[in-house]
Amino acid sequence: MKMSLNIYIGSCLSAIVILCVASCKNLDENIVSGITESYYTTGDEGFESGVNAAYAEARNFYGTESGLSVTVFGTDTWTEGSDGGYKNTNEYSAGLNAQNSLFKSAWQNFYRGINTINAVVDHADKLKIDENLKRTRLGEVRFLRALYYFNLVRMFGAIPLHIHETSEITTDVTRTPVLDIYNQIVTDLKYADSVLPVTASDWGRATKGAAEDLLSKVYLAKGYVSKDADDFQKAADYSEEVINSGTYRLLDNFADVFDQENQENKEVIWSIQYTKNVLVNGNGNTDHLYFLMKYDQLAGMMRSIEYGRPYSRFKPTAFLLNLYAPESDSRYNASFQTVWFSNNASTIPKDASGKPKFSVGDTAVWMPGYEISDAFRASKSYRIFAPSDYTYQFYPSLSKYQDPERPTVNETAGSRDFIVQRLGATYLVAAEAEFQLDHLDNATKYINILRVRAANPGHENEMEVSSSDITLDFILDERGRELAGEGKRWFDLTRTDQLVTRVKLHNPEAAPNIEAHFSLRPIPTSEIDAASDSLEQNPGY
Amino acid sequence: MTNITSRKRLFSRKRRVWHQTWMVMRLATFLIFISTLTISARSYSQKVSLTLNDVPLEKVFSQIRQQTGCSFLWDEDALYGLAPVNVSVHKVDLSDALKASIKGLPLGYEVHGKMVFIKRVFSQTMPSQENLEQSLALPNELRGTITDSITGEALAGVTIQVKGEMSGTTTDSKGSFKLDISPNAVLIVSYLGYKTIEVPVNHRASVHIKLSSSATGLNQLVVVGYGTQQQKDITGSIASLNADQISKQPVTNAAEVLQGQVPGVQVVPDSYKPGAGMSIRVRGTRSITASNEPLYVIDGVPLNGDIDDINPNDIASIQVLRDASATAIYGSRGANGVILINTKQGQVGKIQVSYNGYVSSQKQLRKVKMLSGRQFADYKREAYKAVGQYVDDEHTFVPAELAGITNGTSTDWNSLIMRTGLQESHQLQLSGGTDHIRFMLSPSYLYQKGITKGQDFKRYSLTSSITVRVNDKFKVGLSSIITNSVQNLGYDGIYYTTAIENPLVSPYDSLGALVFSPVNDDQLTNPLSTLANYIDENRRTRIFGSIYAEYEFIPGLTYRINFGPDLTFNRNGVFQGAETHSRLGGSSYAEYNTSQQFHYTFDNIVTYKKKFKDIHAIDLTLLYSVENDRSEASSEAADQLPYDYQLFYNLGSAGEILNIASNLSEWGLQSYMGRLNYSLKDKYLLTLTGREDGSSRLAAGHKYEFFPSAAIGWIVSSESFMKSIEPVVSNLKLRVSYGTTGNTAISPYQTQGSLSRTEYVFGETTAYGYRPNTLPNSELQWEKTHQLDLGLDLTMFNNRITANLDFYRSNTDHLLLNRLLPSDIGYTNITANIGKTRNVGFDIGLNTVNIETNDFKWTTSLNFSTNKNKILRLYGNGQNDVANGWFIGSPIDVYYNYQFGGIWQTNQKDEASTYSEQPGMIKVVDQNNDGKINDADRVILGSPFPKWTGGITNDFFYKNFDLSVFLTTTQGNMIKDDAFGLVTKLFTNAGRFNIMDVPYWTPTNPNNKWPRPNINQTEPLYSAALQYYDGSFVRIRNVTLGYKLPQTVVNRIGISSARIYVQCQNAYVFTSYYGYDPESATGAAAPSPRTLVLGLNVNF
Repeated sequence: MKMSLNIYIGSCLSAIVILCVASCKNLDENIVSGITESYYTTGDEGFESGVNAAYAEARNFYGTESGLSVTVFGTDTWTEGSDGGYKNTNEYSAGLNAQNSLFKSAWQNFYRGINTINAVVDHADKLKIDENLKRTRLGEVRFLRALYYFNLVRMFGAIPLHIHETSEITTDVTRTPVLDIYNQIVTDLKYADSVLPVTASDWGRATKGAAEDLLSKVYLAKGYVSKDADDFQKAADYSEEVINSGTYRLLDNFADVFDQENQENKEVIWSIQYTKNVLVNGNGNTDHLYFLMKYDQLAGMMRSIEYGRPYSRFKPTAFLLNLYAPESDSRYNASFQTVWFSNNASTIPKDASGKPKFSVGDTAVWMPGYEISDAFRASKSYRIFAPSDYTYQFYPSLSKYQDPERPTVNETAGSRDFIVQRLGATYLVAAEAEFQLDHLDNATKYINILRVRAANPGHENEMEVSSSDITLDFILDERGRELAGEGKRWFDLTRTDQLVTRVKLHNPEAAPNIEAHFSLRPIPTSEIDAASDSLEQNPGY
Repeated sequence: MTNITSRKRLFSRKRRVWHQTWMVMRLATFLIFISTLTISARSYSQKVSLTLNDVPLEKVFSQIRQQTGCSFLWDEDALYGLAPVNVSVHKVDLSDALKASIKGLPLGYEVHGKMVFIKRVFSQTMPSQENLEQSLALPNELRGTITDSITGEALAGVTIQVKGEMSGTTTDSKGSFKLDISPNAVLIVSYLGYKTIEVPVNHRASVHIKLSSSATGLNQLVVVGYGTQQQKDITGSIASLNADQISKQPVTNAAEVLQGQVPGVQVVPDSYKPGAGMSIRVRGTRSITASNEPLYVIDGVPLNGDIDDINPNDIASIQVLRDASATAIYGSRGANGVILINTKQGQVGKIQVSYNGYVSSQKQLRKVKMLSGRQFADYKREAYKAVGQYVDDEHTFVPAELAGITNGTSTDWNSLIMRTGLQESHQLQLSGGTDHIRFMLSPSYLYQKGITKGQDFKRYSLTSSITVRVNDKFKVGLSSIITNSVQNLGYDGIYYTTAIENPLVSPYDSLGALVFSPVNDDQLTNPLSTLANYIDENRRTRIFGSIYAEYEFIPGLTYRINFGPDLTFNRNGVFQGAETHSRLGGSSYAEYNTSQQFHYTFDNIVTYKKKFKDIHAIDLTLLYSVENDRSEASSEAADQLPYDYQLFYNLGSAGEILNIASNLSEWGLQSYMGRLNYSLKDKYLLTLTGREDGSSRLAAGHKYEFFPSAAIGWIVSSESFMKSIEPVVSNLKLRVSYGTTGNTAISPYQTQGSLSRTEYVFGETTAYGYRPNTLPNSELQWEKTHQLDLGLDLTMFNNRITANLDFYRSNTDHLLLNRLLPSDIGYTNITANIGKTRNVGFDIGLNTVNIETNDFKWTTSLNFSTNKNKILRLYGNGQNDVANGWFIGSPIDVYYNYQFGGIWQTNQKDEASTYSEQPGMIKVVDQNNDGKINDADRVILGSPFPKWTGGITNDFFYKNFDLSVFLTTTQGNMIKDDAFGLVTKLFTNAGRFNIMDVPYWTPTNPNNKWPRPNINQTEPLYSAALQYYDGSFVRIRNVTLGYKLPQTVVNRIGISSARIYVQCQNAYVFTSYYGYDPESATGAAAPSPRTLVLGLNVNF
C-alpha cells in the first residue's frame, strides 16, 4: 500500500518533469502596448501617423524657450532679463559651448524629425492608398524636411545629409557642404510646390503658398552663400508669387495679426499648431512666459492671467525700443506692453496719512518710453520707469505672445499657434531680394506697403520712405520693427553677416564677447564623441 | 494500518491524563505524539560484524550497508551534532547492529525491506501516568534547566539522553526537565543548532546546563542556491547573517539589516522617508546602464524586484553569495551577487509562541541653520548692491518683507514641517512541529509616523509556512508572505521649498489662516499650504509564495518541484490641491496609477548525493527552470477637479483629463543548470557549475548563453601536518573560484525597433502620430561578468577567532550599455553590448570572542571591504564618453566638472576680468592655463564610490544584561549635493530665495568660499563647482542595552523568557558635510532621524 502510493507519486512527478522539459519555453517577444515600424505600411492610418509625427517635431523648436533662445538672444534687438539659465547664449560667454543643451536639442530634434520623414517617404512606395492623398502628404513632409534642414544649415553650417531612413547603427558622420544642403532643400520644396494644394484640407498643414514662401527665404539665404544673383532673383520671384497669389493679405491693423481670437487670419501663411485640448497640446506654446518683466513684484500688482506669468528671459535692447517712432508707428504699442493697472489692493503703497496712493484699476506702473522730469514723477502716485530706469527685472515687455486664455495664472502650456510664416515677413524678403538685385524701387515699394499698413491713422506719410533710404541696415531695422521677438533675428544677422557689427553696437551684455566665429553654432560635443571618425568642430569652439 | 490505530489509542489515553493542562501544552502534546513513530525492526537474515572506533555514524551505516545490502536513509538534520561512535558487534542481526550503532543517541530506526530509515527521536515529552507515580517513589529524581549560554534564554525541546541507556526526555517550554536517573549517570544533551555536550550528574539533584550555539560550527548548514551545504564543504564566497544578528536590529526594512554587517555589501537608503527602500550593491558596481541590484531569492524562489515587503523579523537567515562559484547557479541573474533569504520555519518540538515588539520615537538628527529674517534682509540688500541697484529698502523689498523687517519677523520654516516621529512594531510568532508537520505563523504590524509632516507608513504582514512529510519519501511544503502597506510620501520638494522660503514672512495671516504665497512670488509658496493640500499615497499588496514537493526515488536521489508565484498590486494616488507648490494656485490635480505584476518561477530540481568508500563524496544538482514576468500598468491624470475632497477617487468628474495610459510588458527566462560538488577525503573540494540561460529580452540567435564556473577548496587543517597546531588553528580552508555570470536586466523589447506616440493638432483636429523611437538591435546579447575569487576561512583558538578573507577581481564585458549614437541618424542612443569594466576588492570578516567568563562575555564582529572599479574599454576606438561621464581607467561613476578655485578677490579684479568675471564671483581652475574657461578645463573631481567601508559591532554580556554598540563607516567617496540643493541651489535667485547661514562674500567681508549674492543671476556662474563634498562619515548606527528578566521572575508570570531593551539608532554621524546627512545628499532628500527604541521580546 505504502510502496504503491510512492510509486504513484513518483511516476506522477516524473511525468511532470518530462512535460516541463519537453515544453521548452518560447522566448520570442511580442509587443502589445507598442507599435513597430511596419505600422507605416499598414495603410492610411499608419501613413498619416508618420506624417503627423513629422509635424509634431516642429513643436520642439517653435513655441519653446530653446527655440527663442537661439534666435532672439545675442542679437542687436534682444538681450537678457533677470532670470533663466541660457544667458550665456546672449552673452556669448563660456557657457555657449559645444555642451550647450540648446544646440544639442535642436540638432537631435530636427534630425529625429528628418528620420521620421525619411521613413515616411521610404515606406510610401510600398503603400497602396489614394495616390493624390499620398502625393499631398509627401509634399507636406518634404516641406517639413526642407524647413528642418534649413534651420540646421543656418545654425551649424555644413551638416550631415540623410534623405533615407536609418535602419542600422552608423557612426560615420560626414558634413555635407552648405550649398549641397541648400540644393536638397530646394529639391524638396520644389516637389512640395508642385503637389501641395493652395489651401489645405486642415488648417496648419503645409500649402503651396507655404512652400513658395519658404523657397523665397531659402533662395535669399542661399544667395548670400552662393553670391549668385540668380538665387536672389528666385527669392524675389517666389516671394512675389506669394504676395500676388491672392491667397494671403496684410491685415489692416498690425495688432490684429496677433489677435488670439483670430489666429487663422489671412496674413498667416503657416503656423505651428497649439490648442486648448490638453491631450494633444504637449507642453503647449510657452512663449507667453519669456518676454514678460517682473511686474508682479511691483507695488499694487500681483500676477494675473491677463498680464501673464513673468519669466523675465528676454529684454528688448535700447536699440530695439528706439527703432520705433511710437507716435506714427503702431507697431511699438502693438508689440510692447508699457502700462500695468493695479490689481492688488494689499500692496498699494500708502501715503503719510495711511491712505492708499491709488486704487485697484488705476495705473500702477507706466513706462513712457522717454525720460521724465522729477516734477512729473513727484506728481504721480504710480511707479514710472523711464528708459534710464529699466533694469533686468523691469522693462517694456513684448506682448505678441501673451496668452490670457490659459486656464490658470501659472499655467505654462499656452494654446496660441506659433506663426512661422506670415505675409508681412514675405514683403521683407521680397524687399531684401530686390535690394540685393539693386532693384531699389521694388524694394522701396514692398517696404512702404508694410510701413503704411503699420502707420497710426493719419501718420501714413511719415511712415513712407524713399528708395534713397533703402540700405541693408534699413532693411534689417525694418525687420527688427516688424518682426520683433518672432524668432528670426539671429538668422537675419548671420545671413547678412551683420551679427558681430550689430551686437557690438547694440547689445551691451554680448558686446564684450562677440566674435566672428559665433555666426555658426557649435556642433554638439555628443555628436563629435559618438562619431567614429573625427567630426570637425566649427571653428572657434 | 496498525500504526494508525495504535496512535489513536495513545492519543486518547494522553488526553485523559493531561486534560487539565492548558491549551497550548495540549496542542504540543498532540503534535509531538503524532510524530512519535513506532520503531519496528524486522529480523533480517544477514549477520553483521563491526569493529569501529570513533567514526561518524555515516561510516557505520555504510559498513552495514556493504555487509547487508540494505540502504540507509535519514533526514538531512538527523545526524547533526552527533559525536562519533564506537561499535563492536560480531555476527549479530541487523536490528542488533543498528541498536548498537545508535546506542545512547537520540535516534530511532525503522526497517522496510532493504531500506533502513534513521530518524531523530524525541522521547515522550510528558511522563506517562506510570512514570509520574514512579518518580514520586524514586528518590533519585534529577531536575534541571537548559539555557542558551549567551542569551540565557530557556531552550525548549532539548533532548536529554542518559548515556548508555535508551531513556531520556526533552525540556518543556520553560527549558526545564525532570528525569529519574542513577546518581552516576551521564547526560547527553543535544539540540539542533547547538553543540552536543555530555554532563555527568555526580549525585546532584538539579543541574543547570548551558548550551553553546554551534553557529560557528563547521557542520552548520548553509543555504546555497537550490540546496544546502555544510559550512565545511563550501567552496564559494558566502557571507551569512543569522536570525540573532537580524533580530538584534529592530529595523523596518529587510535590506537594512545587511547595512554595515556583511563584508562586500554596501547598503544605502533610497531615502529616509518612512517605508522607503534600500539599494544594495554586492562587490561594487559593474554595469553602467543595466541594473546593479543583486538577485533576491526567498525560500528558494528568485524574486523580481526588491525585498521591501519582507518583514525582517520573519527572516531566519540571510546568505550573500558573492563570488562566481556561488552565484553561477543563478547564472543569468547572478552577476550582481545573490541574496538568499530564508524565512523562519517551524521546528520540530513544542509549540513556541513569541512576541516581539517595540515603540520608538524619532527626531531629526541634524538641522541646517538658515539665514534669519534680519540676515536675509542683509543678504537681499547685498544682492542688489552687487549690481548697483540698491537704492533703499522700499525699492528693494516687497511690502510683506518690509512689514517683516519692521516687526522683526524671522520664521524657521524647517522646524514648521518637522515633527517628532513615531514607530510601532508588533509581531507574534507561533511555530512548532513534529516529524510529519512543521508550521510557522507570524502576523505583524508596523506603523511609522515620519519626522516630516505628511509622511507615514503602515504595513500589515502575515508570514506562514507549513511542511508536510507525507511519508518517508515524499515531502510537500508551502511558505507565503502576504503584506499590505500604505505609504504616504508627502511632497518630494518639501525640503527645498522650505529651505528657500523667505524668513521675513509668517505662514499665517492675522486670523491664523495659512497664506499661500506670503511674498507674492510663485517660487516661494508656503510649505505648510503644500503639506495641507498634497497627497501622494502608495497602497501595495504583495503575495509571495513558495510551494514545493520533494520525492526521494532511491536514497540520495531526490526530485523537487518548486513553484514560486509573486503577485504585486500597486496603487499610487496623487492629489495636489490648488494651494500647493505643484499647482501654484491653479486648479486641483489628481492622478490614479495602478500596476499589477505576476511573476513566477518554476523549478525542477534533481539532486543526487552519494559517498563512495568514505573517500569520494558527490553531490549533483540538475535544474530546469522557467521564469516569467508579466506587468500591467495604467494611469490617469486630470485637473480642474470640481471638489477637492474626492482626492483621486472621482477622476471622471474632472474638468480636464490630462492623460490616460496603459501598458503591458512581459519577459521570460529559461534555464538548464548542472552543479557537481565533489569532496575527496573531506579535504579536497571541487565545485563545477554550468548553466545555460535563455532570455526573451535579447536578440534572436543571442538569447542563450552558457555560464560555467569552477571552484576548488582545500581544508588545510585536515592535513596530518596540521595536527600539531590544531589547538591554535582548528580550521583553515583555502578557496579559489572562477566563473562567469550574466546580466540581462534591461527593459524588454529593445531588440525590436519601436515607434513612440506624438501629439499634434490641425486647427482643432487631433493628430496623433508615431515616430521611430528606438533603433532595433538585432545583436543584443548577454552582459557577462568573469569573476576570480581567492578566499581563506580560518578558525583559531577554539573558535575564539574566526576570519574570512576574500580577494576578488571581476571583469564585466559585453556591457549592456546605452550607447550614444551620432544623432544625425535620428536616434540618440541604442542599448548595445559594448565595453568592459573591472572590480577589484577585498572583503574581510572577523569575529572574535575577546573575553568569556561565567558571567561576562565580550565579542567583536568586524568587517571591512574595499572595492575599486574602473572602465577598461568603451567603444571600438578607445575614446572616452565625455557626454556620459565615462572615462577609460576611471571609475564607472565620476564627477566631471570644473574645479572650484575660490572666489575672485578685490585685488584680483584685473585677472578676473580676463575671464569676464568680477570680484566676488566663483573662480574655477583654468586647468590648461589658456586664459579661458571652456570644456577643456573640466576634470574628474572624484567618484561616489567609497574607497572602503566597514562596520564594527561590540557585544557585551554581563549576567542578565547585554550591551551592543554598532558603528559603520564609509570613507573616501565624493558626494554631489543635488537633492535637497542646500549647496547646489545656494545663491540661486539670490535675494529671492533664502540660503543656509554661510558667510557669503561682500566687498567689506570677503572670503574664499562663498560667492557674492547677485540679484541678476538665476545661478552664479560655475555654481556647480560648489556642489562636491567629501562624503566620508562614521555613524554610530546603533547602541542597544538589553535586560533579560531573571528566570525566577519569568517563571512566576508564566512565560519562558523575556528581554527588554532600549536602543538608539543612528545616534550620531561624524562627517564634514553640513547638509542633513551625507547619505541623503544625493537622491534621498529627507533628513535622517535619530531613533530611540523601547522593545520587548517574550517567549511563552
